[in-house]
Amino acid sequence: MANRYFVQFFYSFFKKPVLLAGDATFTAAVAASKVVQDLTYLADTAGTAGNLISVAYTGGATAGSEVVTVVGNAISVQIQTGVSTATQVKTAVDASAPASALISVSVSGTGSTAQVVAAAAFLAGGLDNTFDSLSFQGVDSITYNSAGDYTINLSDEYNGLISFSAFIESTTSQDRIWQIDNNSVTSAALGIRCLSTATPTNPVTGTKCHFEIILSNSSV
Amino acid sequence: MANRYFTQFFYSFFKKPTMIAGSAIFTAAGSTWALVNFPGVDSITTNSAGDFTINLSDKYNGLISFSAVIESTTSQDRIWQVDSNAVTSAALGVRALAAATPTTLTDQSVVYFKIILSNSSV
Repeated sequence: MANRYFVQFFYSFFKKPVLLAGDATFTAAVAASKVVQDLTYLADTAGTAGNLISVAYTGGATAGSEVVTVVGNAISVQIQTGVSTATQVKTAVDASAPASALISVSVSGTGSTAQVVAAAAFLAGGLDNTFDSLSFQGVDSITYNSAGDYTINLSDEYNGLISFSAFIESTTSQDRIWQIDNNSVTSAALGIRCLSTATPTNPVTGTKCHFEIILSNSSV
Repeated sequence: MANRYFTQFFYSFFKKPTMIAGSAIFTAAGSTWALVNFPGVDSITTNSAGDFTINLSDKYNGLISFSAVIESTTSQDRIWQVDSNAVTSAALGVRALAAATPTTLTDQSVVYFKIILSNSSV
C-alpha cells in the first residue's frame, strides 16, 4: 500500500461529513425460456415472473387443427401425438392471443418433426434486473425501479445530502449521466437516474457502477 | 441519524484540502440561483445560457476537483465543465452542457456542487 506522507485532515464547512463510496454490478433481466422438443418458448417479458409460465402438450386433436388453451400462466396445446409437426404447433400457438401475450415461440429443431404429448414444463432461467455484488459499506441495497431509475437504500438515516457522483467501469463506452431524482436521505433512501441523452437508460449488463455519496451527519 | 463508528480522517497528498459543497436552486425566469446550504460560496451568477460563475467567499491557492449533479424529476442530460478556473480570485466558471452546447436548466432544478480546493501553496 501507499506509504507516503499524507495529510490527515480534510477541511470542510460541514461538522460531520460522511463519505460513503462503493460499487455494485448491474445485471440486466433475462427472459425465461424452455425448449420443448423442436420448439423454444421464450417469455415476452424478461424477469423471474416468466419462470411461472408452463407449456404442456396433450393429445386428442387432429394435426393441422391443434387447440391452444391458456389458464393463467399455463399454456396447453392439444396435438395429434406423433403426427402434429413442430411447425403446426407453432402456428397454433402464434394464433392464440392469450398465449402470445405470455410467450413467443420459435423453431429451434426441425419444423417437420412430429411432436408428442409432453407433461407441463415450466420455463426457466428468468432473472430480474438487479444490482448485485454490492461492495458498498453504509448501503444495504440498490433497488431497481424501472429502466435507468434506481434507489440506493442507505443503512442509516442522515441529516442531509452534500454531494453525489457516480461513474461506470466498463470496456463498453456508455454515455451515461447520473442525476438525483429523489433526495430522501433523512429516510435512508436516495433516488437516482442513469441517463442517456436525457432518457433513463440501464447500463449494459455486467457493468460495475461506482458511487460516491457525501452526507451530513449533523443537523447543525 | 447514523450512529455507527466512522473513520474520522481522510488522507490526502494535499496539505490543506478544503471541501466546499452545497446545493443551489435554479430559477429559469431571470436565470437566478438561490443558495440552499452552501457555506463557502457567496453566490452563483448566470453569465449566459448554461454558463455560470460560482463566487467563492475566499480565495484559494488552487482547484483540486469539481463535480455537480442535478436533482430533478425531469431528466436532464447535463455534463458539467469548468471553463474558467479563477479560484485564486475567488471565482470558478462552470458550464452545463447538453450535447456539447451550454444549456440552461429546468426551472427549480436543485444542483449539488462539490468543489475541492487547495488552501496551501506548498
